[in-house]
Amino acid sequence: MNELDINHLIDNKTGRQSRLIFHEKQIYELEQERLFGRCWLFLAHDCQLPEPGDYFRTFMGEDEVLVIRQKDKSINAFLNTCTHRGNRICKADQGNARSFVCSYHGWSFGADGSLVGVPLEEEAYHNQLDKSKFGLRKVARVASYKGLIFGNFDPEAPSLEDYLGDIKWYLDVWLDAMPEGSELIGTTQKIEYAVNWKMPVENVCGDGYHAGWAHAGVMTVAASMNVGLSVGNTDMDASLGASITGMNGHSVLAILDGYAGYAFYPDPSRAISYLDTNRHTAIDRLGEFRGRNLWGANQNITIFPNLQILPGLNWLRVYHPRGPGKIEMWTWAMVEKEMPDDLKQMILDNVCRTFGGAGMFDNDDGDNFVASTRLNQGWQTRQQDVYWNMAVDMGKEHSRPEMPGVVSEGLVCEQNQRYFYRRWQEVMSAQSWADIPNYNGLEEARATEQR
Amino acid sequence: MSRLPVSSPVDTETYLALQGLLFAEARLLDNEQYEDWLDMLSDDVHYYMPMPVRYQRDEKENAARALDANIFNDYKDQLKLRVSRFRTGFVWAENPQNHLRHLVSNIEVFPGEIDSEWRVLSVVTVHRNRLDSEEHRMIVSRTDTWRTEGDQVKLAERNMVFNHAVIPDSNLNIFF
Repeated sequence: MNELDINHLIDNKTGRQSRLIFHEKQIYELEQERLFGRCWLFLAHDCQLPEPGDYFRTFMGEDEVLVIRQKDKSINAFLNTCTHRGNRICKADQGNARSFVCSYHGWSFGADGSLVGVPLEEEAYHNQLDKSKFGLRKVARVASYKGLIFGNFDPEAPSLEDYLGDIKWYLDVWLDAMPEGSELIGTTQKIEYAVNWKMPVENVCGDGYHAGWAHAGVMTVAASMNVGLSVGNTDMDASLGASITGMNGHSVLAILDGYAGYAFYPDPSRAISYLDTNRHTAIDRLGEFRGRNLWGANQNITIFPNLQILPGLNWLRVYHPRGPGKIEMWTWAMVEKEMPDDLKQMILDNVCRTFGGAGMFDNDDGDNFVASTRLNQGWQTRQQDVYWNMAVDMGKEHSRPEMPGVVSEGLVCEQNQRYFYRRWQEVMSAQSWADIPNYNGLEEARATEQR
Repeated sequence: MSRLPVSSPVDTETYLALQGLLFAEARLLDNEQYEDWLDMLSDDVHYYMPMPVRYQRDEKENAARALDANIFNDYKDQLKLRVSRFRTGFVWAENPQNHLRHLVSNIEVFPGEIDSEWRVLSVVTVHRNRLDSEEHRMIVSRTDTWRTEGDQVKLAERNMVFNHAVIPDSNLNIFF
């Protein structure tokens, strides 16, 4: 797959996409190398490994990694594979350990990744093994932003702060509205299903259009507030929401009423009383617009390429690719630390009931995504393009003084998906980070027009 | 869960009666007779299935552990809400109707903590076939409390262990 091919797969001016991006193994492998090998990927939240020796086993793309809290409280991450014959080092999902012993020949590694023990080192290796050369392969960069820990395989990548850029302004609505910040709660909800990883990402990133139709059943029985969408897509109110891009592939789909994150609680009164009690604190810390309009409302925040954080609906999700046609989707509930325990438990339960394994919203989506992926196995089918072309030529994108990014009114708008794929195209066709453009705000919109 | 004796001391008649309830329940679920199924549940039923996590066997018991994220943590109101969603006719993933079969096995019956209750263990294997050859099989072990209420015996509690580290299907529009 050469650069020319990547540029032909997607046409940002018309919203046309080749279905090959959901199917071809060659494109998938290039994604592993250039997207998952270069971008900052979510590893864990600080609260999941508070003490030295605490570890968490996860993935960066298809690479299995072990995230470990060090003695000095810093975090390191390593490929979870023995440097001798490649066996898995750590098999538990999480825990606490002083060292990790490979179950194949007994090589042992310290929490800092160093090779500390080799059975029969003297008798069989004759003390000729230079153990300093056989430590676990370290993930080049690990950094955190207000509790969210990320890793990056590329030493040349921009800093995490620069990579996140303007999206931090939206992220802070969850991470920084309250003085003690936020945490993830609940064990990891893991779901594997037969879908290309980009399908659920593009959906959550910008697809308000599907909500009234694909989720008509659950919207009928569970919606307790107006979110500007209607069952059966018979009507919409664009004034309640916004699609926001122009942030280097990151995006937000936001409702602006300050409450709608709790719209799918049959009785949201407990949450609303928490919001009303603490609204002034959020406004003091975030300013009038974010404190009043965004805090408590839902934001679908996408951190390019595979992390989605939904303050309001209160979940965080990472999509681990498993080949072009499969993913493992990991979800946690998230709360503000100051929330009372009963509200935290209520949020955890509601997240599981709406966006977990038996979640009434999630359970509507999978069947659609699976078919959109599976049908591309047909040779003729995958020669036919698909489109994100809603209002593509209408010039709806503009800036708003109160918020960073490129804004279109409403949740029903395919702007976010087009920007997601434009970033995909830029990162996939670049030889290195030096070739990947860095945009701010409307500059990105103008660049689209010039393409 | 408290440790149960190796063999069950209940009489055959009681055993067969409770086994019959489990089989009837499986048939109602297979046939999507969800309102009839809800009638088999006590009004204070707790229907509970945490997401499993794997720790090392020697992991410290007192190590900080996250709250359970639950695939189900439902009382009757939430179960009714799930059923009412099915009944809207808008759950596209269940149309056409999927092949669904609950195979109930490993049934053991023990006396409950009070006279009118029984502790019932079972394993349910759920077979699901969506379109074409898309099939999933899930195995859940269940510890139930069944309680006598008037002339009926109702399910008062179901504590389930999902025997998979990862949920192997895009939806669980079903009950176990």
